Amino acid sequence: MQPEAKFQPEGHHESQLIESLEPDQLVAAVAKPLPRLKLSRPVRIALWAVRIFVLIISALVVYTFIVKLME
Amino acid sequence: MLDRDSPGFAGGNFTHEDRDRSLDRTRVFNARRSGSRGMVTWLLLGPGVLAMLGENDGPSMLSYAFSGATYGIGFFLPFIAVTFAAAYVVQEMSMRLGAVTHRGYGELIFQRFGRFWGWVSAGDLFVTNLITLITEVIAIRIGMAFFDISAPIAVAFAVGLVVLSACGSRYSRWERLAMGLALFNLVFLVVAVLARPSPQALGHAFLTWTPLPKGSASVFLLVLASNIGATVTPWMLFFQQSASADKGLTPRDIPQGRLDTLIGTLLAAVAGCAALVAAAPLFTHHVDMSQNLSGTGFPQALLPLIGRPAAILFALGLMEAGAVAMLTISASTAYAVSEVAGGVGHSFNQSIREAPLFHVANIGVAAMAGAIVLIPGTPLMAIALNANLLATVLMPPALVFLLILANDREIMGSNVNSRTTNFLGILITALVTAAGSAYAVVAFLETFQSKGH
Repeated sequence: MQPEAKFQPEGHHESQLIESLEPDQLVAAVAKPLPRLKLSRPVRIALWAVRIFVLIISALVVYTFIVKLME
Repeated sequence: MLDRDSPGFAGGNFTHEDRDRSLDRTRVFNARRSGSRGMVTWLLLGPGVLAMLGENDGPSMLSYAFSGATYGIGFFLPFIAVTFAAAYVVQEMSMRLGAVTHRGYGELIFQRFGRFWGWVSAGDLFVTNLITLITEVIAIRIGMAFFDISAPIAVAFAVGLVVLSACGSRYSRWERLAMGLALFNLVFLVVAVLARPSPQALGHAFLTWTPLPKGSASVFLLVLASNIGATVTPWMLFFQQSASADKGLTPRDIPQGRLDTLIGTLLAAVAGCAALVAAAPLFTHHVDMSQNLSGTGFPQALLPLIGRPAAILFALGLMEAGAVAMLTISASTAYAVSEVAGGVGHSFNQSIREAPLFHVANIGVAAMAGAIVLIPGTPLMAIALNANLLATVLMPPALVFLLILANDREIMGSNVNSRTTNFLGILITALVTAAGSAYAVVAFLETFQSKGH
């Protein structure tokens, strides 16, 4: 974490005013993508398991919704 | 990353977005330097309050009111309060991620987990947001119908509000407009008082969680899952993290971010419980609301029981709930779409020229929801009742990503989750998964059996 800069009143030079921001907060810094997270095999399996589970549950909900709608 | 000594930082190659954000940050620094804690809190208030009060949206208030009308003052009153406590735990993580990484939730999933999971998450969000936005327009329509205002005008109002809020190209302006509207959520508290609930019944319900709900298991599970989906939803994660980053929160602001989230939680919990209490006279007078949600719905049904002023306030409350959520949910869609698209602007501090996808997504999704509501024969009430349920069903993957990201030391450093937060986060994920799947399985089996007979 960077310390906050000294107070720069509005109307001062842009580069001074911009010091109110942390360096990694600037658009130029945030535009650089973060590296990919190396997911372990158990984590990858867990992500897929949750996704498949959600798809099954969603299918049940959609089926019930459509049947009740047509009643 | 840039540091202060690098040419990119000192050289002045800054964007309009940097400049606008730095103006807001300068105010925060000035307030901090002068020792004005109240001013620092005021300046940093926003994303948490908006996420929480924005989630007290049309379908949520209808869900709380439906709980009161179906089961009275009992189990669901303390249950709603507990779901808000769960929402605080989840939203605090999301705020912390935004403050530390300065990136939105969709952006982080895309960058840390890859394009596939990024698009899948954004797809989940887009579906739930579109359906939820339809219900926001429905809520505004119900509220306006009470005053004999036609559906096209209600839709024009809803979409026009999103367009108006985006004018000005400043996050701070958008945020203060939305917050001003959001405070009117407390109108439900006035309605609850006008409904004259028994203080003993309120105290008894909070202390004992009784009377317990009776009747159909699938209706109980639907209400249970809807109430969870009314407080803990995917769009809130996307919104609060992106809004915290857009506002310019830093790790130093995390205590104020927590306070912001806590204030939002308390205000939203009070308003949510108040909606249940306000509709409880319908339970006492045995009014079946399951078939009476269309048209002017709750305000009209409550009119003979709690009086015209209270019914008018209830209708106004629904309009406000829908209006605030139109702003926040459209914004969360815009953040997600433009973050996942990558390399394009995604800030309210940018004009439509600087961030065309962001602004088109913001207004476009609202306009799409409005257009669907105007299609004759669309099952609006069925959509409204199932919107929160869908949010509950799609929440577990979002919570899993959130927990992994909030424990990612590479991006969070010392701001990773504590053991207590992880325990609570895992518990909430398990309960949300169980509630959503319990309803899905029970309702499916009931429907399947009834079709078989």
